[in-house]
Amino acid sequence: MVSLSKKSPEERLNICRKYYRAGFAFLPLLWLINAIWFYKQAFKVEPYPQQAQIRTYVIRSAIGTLIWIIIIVAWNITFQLLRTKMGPLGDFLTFVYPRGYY
Amino acid sequence: MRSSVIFVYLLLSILCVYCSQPKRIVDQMYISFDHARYCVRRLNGTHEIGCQSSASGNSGRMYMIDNDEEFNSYLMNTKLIDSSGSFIIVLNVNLFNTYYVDKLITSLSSKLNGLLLYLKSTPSRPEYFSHDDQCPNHRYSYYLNQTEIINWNSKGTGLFFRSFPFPIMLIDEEDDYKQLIKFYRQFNYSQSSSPTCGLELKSFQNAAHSSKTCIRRNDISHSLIDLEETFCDPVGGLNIYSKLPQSFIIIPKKRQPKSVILILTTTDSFQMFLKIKGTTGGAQQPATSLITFLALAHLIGQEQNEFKQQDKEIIFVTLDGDALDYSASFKFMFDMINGSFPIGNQNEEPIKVEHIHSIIEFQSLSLTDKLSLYTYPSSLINQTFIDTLVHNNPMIIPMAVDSSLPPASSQIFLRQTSSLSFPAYILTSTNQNQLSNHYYHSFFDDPSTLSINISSLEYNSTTEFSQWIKNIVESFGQTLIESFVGIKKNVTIKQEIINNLVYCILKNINCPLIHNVTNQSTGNSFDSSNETSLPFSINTYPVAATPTFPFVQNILSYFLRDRIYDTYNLNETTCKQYSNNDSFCSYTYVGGYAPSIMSEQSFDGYCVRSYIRSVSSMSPAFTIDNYDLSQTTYPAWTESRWTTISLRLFVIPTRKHEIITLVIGILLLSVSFIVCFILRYYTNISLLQPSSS
Repeated sequence: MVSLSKKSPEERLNICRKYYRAGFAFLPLLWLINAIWFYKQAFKVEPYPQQAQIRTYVIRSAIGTLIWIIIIVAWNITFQLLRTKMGPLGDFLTFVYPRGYY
Repeated sequence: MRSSVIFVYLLLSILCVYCSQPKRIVDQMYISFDHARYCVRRLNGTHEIGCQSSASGNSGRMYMIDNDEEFNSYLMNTKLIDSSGSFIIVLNVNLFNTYYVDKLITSLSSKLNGLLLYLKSTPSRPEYFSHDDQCPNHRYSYYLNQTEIINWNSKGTGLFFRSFPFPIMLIDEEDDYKQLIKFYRQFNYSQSSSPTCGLELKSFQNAAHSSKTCIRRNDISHSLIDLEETFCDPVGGLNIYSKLPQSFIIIPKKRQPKSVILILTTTDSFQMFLKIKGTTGGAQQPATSLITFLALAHLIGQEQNEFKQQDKEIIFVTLDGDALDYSASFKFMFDMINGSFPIGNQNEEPIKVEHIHSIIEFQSLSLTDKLSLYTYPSSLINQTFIDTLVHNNPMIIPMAVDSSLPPASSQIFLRQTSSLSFPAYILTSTNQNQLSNHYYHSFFDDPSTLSINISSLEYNSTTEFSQWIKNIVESFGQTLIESFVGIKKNVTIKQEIINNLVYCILKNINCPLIHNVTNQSTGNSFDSSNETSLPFSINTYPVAATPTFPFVQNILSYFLRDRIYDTYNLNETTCKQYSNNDSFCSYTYVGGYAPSIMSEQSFDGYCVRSYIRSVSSMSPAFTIDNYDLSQTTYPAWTESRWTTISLRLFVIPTRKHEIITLVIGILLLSVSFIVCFILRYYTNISLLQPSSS
């Protein structure tokens, strides 16, 4: 397990930046982990020079996670409600068909 | 120390041997009924019909209703209805009609979790039991556009074509009924305070919504997952046709207009309640018509020298799939209009609509004193043919000119040609616009309705029924010869042949007749259907291993064979050589069916030269590219797939019993926790100490 307290501040910033940048590849879980893991580092620990930068990354990751949650929940609700009403399109998008039910 | 270990070991093994029961506990909890009939789901272009249960089965408290008074008292007994969350109603089969079923559905709504019908004993079967519509096959105006709608099957309930959200099963064996009533009386004394019986019905169907959705889901396969799941199969079997192998119209010779006569019958039926390895019904429709058809084919084959003198071809056609919206007839007409009838050799000139002289159909025949002859249209029918037929057989009564036709495949033949090309003659058993069949499209349609005692029927028993068939077939054959060959001749068919046909089709397919007309390997395929009658049910594509098609193919082709080959003493290799030279006919080497052979000499084996073709009878809806299955141009019936069907009885304990079981369970759990804790506490201490040995 990586323990952030054993890493130097530059290494911490490096990890945070890597997670932030990788999250743009449609990986919202990375942003979620980034926000949770570095929350203590960004807001609760004694200030050090890299903290401001870490703080921006954490806030942006949190915003990104929120946007993704909204998109995923909206699509889930739409699909659940409109799957049968979409006709052939609903069937093409479904991966596993409910056996015995429409 | 050693001896005590051995002693404990011995004791445990003895206990295991004596106390272990080979039966699982779940087997002791349930009584299963393996011979129950079940209802399945079928779909057409826009709707689904039939029954559906949940994937793990529908269970509920059992309540038996035997007659009308019990029915009314049950519906008024609100205390009983409230006592349980779901019910499985066990209904006497006489009460299975729209009135009672609709009342149950409206009163119980979601509490009705399933329906189990029972038949008390074979003699107590209801007088009428048909769940087809009152006017069969009238959907989407496939019915010939005639002014009045006649209810040919007036006692039909139409329940087959309704969609039920719960499973329906039927118990028709007397032992099952006795077992059911024994448990019911044992447990269901008072209303709520004693243990009651419960039933679980499982008949989960894979398909849903409509054929269009189902076929689309069959075809979509996501390539990441390899397994393709098929939800439903299109309805269709084989259309079989055969004729005398006398002359062939080979291109460039032209076929004369109005030179082909088609003789039609069907080979399928449906039942609302199916059973694995059970009777399918179909004795009156289509078995009687099929037996008449095959016997007539034999007669024509017998008199083939007469028919060689004239230029008309008589083609015998069996259609499979007409019970549901005439799928097979649509396919046959589709092939004919598109030039692929007859199939097989490209050098044979196709038969088109203008070449058809007339069509004759045997449909819904029953053992009746009078038969009705329907003809349409009046502008094209040959009155002399009808007069000759009535003269030869006074049983046949011609119906009024242009009267409405009964449900028959000819309706589609006429519809697709706008009734302008050829006339249709339909022989059927109706009385005042009512079909004589009380069990139309039902599994009760068995040989007892034809006054045949099936248990005492032998291979060569002459019954009233087989004599009746002989009468009809001989008069028909005589009429055909008079009308087309022009000579008056008394033709006879041996009673033995008809007796054998009746035995094979209605009692045991694995009969000497089929072995005599097939070669060794084909004959052996019938051994697995020993002691079963010919099944008449809905066939699906891909064609399952039903014996109906090989049976009809082999018998029809043998009866219409080239009889000159009966006088040749050939062996198998010569027969094969003949088949290499002839691309129109098929040659098989068989043992020979003695009653059919006219020549005095008899040989060990005969080479049979015959003309036989089989075409898939699936509706054109499934074979035309980009056809939208919800259109009504062609019927689009499919049958759902299913895996396990089961019916089980169990006992629902009283509320007190359930609570005691729960409390004991919790106590046992806590006691075991305490014991483990104590053991752990003490062994913890002893493990830390060095062992003293």
